[in-house]
Amino acid sequence: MKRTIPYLKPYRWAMAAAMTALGVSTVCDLLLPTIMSQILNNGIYEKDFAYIARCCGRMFLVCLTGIAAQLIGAWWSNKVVACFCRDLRGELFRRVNAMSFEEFGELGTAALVTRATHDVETVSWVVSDLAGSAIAIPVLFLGGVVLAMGKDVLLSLLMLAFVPLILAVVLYAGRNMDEVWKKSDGYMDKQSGIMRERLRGIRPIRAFDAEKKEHERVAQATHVMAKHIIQANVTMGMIAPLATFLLDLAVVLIVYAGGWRLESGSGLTGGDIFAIVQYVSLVASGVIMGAFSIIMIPHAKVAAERIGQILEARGIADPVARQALTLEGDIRFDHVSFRYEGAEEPALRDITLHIPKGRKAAIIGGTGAGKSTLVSILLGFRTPTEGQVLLDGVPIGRLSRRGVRENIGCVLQNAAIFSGTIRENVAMGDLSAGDEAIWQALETAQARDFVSAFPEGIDHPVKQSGKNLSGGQRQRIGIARALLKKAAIYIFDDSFSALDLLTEAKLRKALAGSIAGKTQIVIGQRVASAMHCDCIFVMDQGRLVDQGTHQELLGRCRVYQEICASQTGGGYETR
Amino acid sequence: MKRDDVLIRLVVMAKPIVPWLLLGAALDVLAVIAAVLAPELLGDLTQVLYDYWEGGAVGSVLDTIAGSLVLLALVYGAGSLFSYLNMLLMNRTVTRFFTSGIRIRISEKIRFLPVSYVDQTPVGDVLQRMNDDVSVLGGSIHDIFNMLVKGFFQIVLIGVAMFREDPRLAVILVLLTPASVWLSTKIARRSERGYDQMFHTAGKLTELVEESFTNIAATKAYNLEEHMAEKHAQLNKELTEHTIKARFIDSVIQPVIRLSNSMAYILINLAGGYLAVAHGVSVGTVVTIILFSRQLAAPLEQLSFCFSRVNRVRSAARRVFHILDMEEEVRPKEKLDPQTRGEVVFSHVDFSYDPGHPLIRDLSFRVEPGRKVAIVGPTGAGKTTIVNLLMRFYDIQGGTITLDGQDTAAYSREDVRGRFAMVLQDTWLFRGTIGENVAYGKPDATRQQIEDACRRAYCDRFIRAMPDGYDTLIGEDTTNLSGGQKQLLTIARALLADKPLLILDEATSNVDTRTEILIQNAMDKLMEGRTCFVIAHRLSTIVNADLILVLDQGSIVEQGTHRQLLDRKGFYHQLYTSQYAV
Repeated sequence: MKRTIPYLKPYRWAMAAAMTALGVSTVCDLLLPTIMSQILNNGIYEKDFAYIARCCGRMFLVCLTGIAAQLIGAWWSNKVVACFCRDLRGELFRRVNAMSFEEFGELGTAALVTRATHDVETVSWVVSDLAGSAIAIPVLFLGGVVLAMGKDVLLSLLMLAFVPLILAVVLYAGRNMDEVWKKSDGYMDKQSGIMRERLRGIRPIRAFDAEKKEHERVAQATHVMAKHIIQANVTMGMIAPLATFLLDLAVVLIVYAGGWRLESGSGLTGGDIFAIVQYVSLVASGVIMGAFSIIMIPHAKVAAERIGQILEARGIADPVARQALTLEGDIRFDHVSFRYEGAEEPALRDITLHIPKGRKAAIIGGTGAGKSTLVSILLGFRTPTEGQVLLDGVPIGRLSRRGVRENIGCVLQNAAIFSGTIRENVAMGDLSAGDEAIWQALETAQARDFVSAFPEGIDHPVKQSGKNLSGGQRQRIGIARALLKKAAIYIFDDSFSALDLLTEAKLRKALAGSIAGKTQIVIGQRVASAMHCDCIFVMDQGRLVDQGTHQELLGRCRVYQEICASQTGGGYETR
Repeated sequence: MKRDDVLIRLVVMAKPIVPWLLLGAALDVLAVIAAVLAPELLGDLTQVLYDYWEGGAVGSVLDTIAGSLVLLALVYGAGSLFSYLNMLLMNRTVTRFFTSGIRIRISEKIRFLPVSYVDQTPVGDVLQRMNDDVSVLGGSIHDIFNMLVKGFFQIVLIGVAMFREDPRLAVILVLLTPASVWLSTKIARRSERGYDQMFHTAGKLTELVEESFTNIAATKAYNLEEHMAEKHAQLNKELTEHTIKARFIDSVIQPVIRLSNSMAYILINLAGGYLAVAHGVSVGTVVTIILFSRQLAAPLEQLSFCFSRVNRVRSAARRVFHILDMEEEVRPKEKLDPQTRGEVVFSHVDFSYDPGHPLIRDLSFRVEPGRKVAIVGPTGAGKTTIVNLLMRFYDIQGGTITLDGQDTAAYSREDVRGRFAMVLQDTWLFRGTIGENVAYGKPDATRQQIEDACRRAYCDRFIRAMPDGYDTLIGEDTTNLSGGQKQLLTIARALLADKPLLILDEATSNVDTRTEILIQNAMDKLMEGRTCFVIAHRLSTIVNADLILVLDQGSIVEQGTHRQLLDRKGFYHQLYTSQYAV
């Protein structure tokens, strides 16, 4: 709650306006029974029609004012709530994007999506309640009490005596609601998580005929969720009838006490009793509204806590605020080690390597050798546990992380394709690029042919995750994106794996021309991709085992020899 | 779709819970009777007190009213009790039926939807429909039901009571009520459109959020945080505008109803006052009617509230029905011959994902049982499509695919798929332990068998190095497994599943070559005697195939063994030699 309330601050005046307007409309609501009792007491009982007409006129005015105020209040409070949600969603989105990968991994994608969308909605209910009733509740309540007091103190006190009783009931009913909501929201995450897995894994699931099993997992999570939601609803639902009953009881007692006061001749009139009974219903609506607001709080609190987890995420602060950085492309790893949180074995052990400016380096190695971790560290996704990385001789920790990334064009594993168009996907490398530059990048990436075959060309729509493109097409769009970016360093992390050998060869040739003189790092398992590089780094289980040219390594490095042999059937030496 | 279709469908859908609905309605009616009875009693009581006061307050009034007071308390109590029971009943039946019930239906529905639907629909969209839209539906439906039943019954009851008191005064009410209901329906219709737009934009926003969180690494690497934030802000702004609009129009309904209520109240007061002054109608009658007209405000407001809720429900229900109405796959029940030899024949197969762009045309080839077929070709040639067709993820549009002479289209999909083990390039792991993930294709596997499969797929060692070994929890977001390790786990999964036919679509693309050599033995053993379809770029995997199909633009351009194809010096030769070109 603490974390989310500040987002209301910009709207405090609008909120004040909404509350004032709603307050006015509530006051009008309060005035009505007074006028009504006047009509009854002084008009109808006195048979004074002129008086009745005057009162009706006044009542009409009060009504109009009340409704105008209500409309204004509704407009502002809707606006405040919608804008509050907008700001919160925007902020959550930004925060998640700024999260460190450790923080991101801790919650998981599905849970983060729910927090950035559904939970905001939940919190907004309370805010909208707050904007709608924060003024109305005390006005109704106090107004009712004051007016009743004006009629008869004793009867009013009788009515007031029931208020703490009702509050006690509400608080007692709501005491365990936090837990219930936490559980039901937890299962919401779980259900979404399973659904997400299921939709993404539709092929393996159907291949193993496991749709039924997956469906049952969803159903089970849903059942548990429903159980908790119903439990919460039932608890909440108990409050209204109970509170109403208690207030009704108050009415009965007031009538009785009123009769007694009449009997003892305290100057109380018949109209007064009638009026007080009306006031009780005012106070009742205030109290019941309040009760509902109170009972909403636990769910909102749980949602706000979940949102708070994101707002509290420290993210990874940029060591240096924005700076224009132009790197030459000299990369040095100095005794770098890295261990993932909770992992027993380090992913990188004491890596020392140097890639001079403009060189083409390959990093080759087995599964889990630590190649991608190396890229993560270079891009500043992860911070080395020991040692440091130097770019152009400057420790990476002293450079602006954004600045560093500005100087790196990279293609990540799985290519990361967004829904939209091919143009939008490529232009992520350089948002200001024109058509010509985009086509140029596509051409170098060997994607021109298939893109120009689409009737819409670069405006060809791309579905989520690039589902309507083949793996190789996705990779080439990813490569075009990297090439469009004018960078000093290019990283290709396993970016050719879905390309056939012919296309890869063409691509290699095109790259040699288009990014000549830039530092290039090619990560992968194909010897064919590595053998043309100036220097090949061979990694194995987090260690750098050797480095050198293709020929050198072939002569002395057993790991490299094995890799070569496996890929070429031993026929490479002759070439 | 006609405007009211959705509501009617919701009602039809609720058939199984009709008895509960009737019971709920009965409880509602009882509660309403109590609610109408109470003010009448109260009015009588006030009248007694008033008469007593007017009469100069002689004797004891308490004895006179004591009985009525007890009765009043009982009526109040009964009203609350009925409301409470109704709430309990409705939550346990209606809410459950419409929330978890519909969610489960959607989940069930997805089982039978074609893969193409899942391929084309963003995950965020399905989640939005299943979570938020169903929430709107289930959260409102029993309220609406209660309000409708209560509201109408209460209005009718009060109307009748008023007529009995004085028809002249009741007429005002009869005239004003339909007017205000009509007006609020008008407004409601407009707000429904607003809600449609709002939900639509909300769905798009969820999609965007889901997508960008999935690709968080790319966003960071390209410093696109701000760009994505802008895209998000754009949709967010749109959503906000739609929300404000829809909600505001919605919130106009209540004041409109209030205004017309107050008008009725004023008119009744004027008319009542006039009748009392000029025609000597008893003050008690006028007071009762005035009290009734106060009473009327609540159900009318409830009804108006109900109208505004109905819009949201309708809008959400449409989105939910959109999924539930999707055409399901035809499900042949026929079982294949339990014995599988493994002969696969494609004859004159035509297929395209998009009717405008034919992909595969007149594709024919034949694979002898137990043979190893490699499918090679440039990207986009249709290699993965062949897997889609073999596994019947997509249905062919012409020709036949037969397994041991049986047309696969005529047999149960599950049965056809059950003959294949499959390893894909995109690894898929679910949130669960490593052991559960490996045993996915064979849920009854013993720990021994799981470990054995993992040993053969060379993942036993790294699994044991993890903190909880085979019980380590993993998922899609798992960071402590590399791409290659994930792929090894899926290979172990296929090894364990042990099916007569095998599909390897870039199954080892993320596995390093040394490990690949190591698992080659296991793979060879696995492929032995089985018909295998292998899609790979690595020549080592292709060279030993019994048959190589060279695919280009959806058709086979060459076929033969490695040697034959090299000698031909055609497309394949070009592919093969390109690997060493600078």
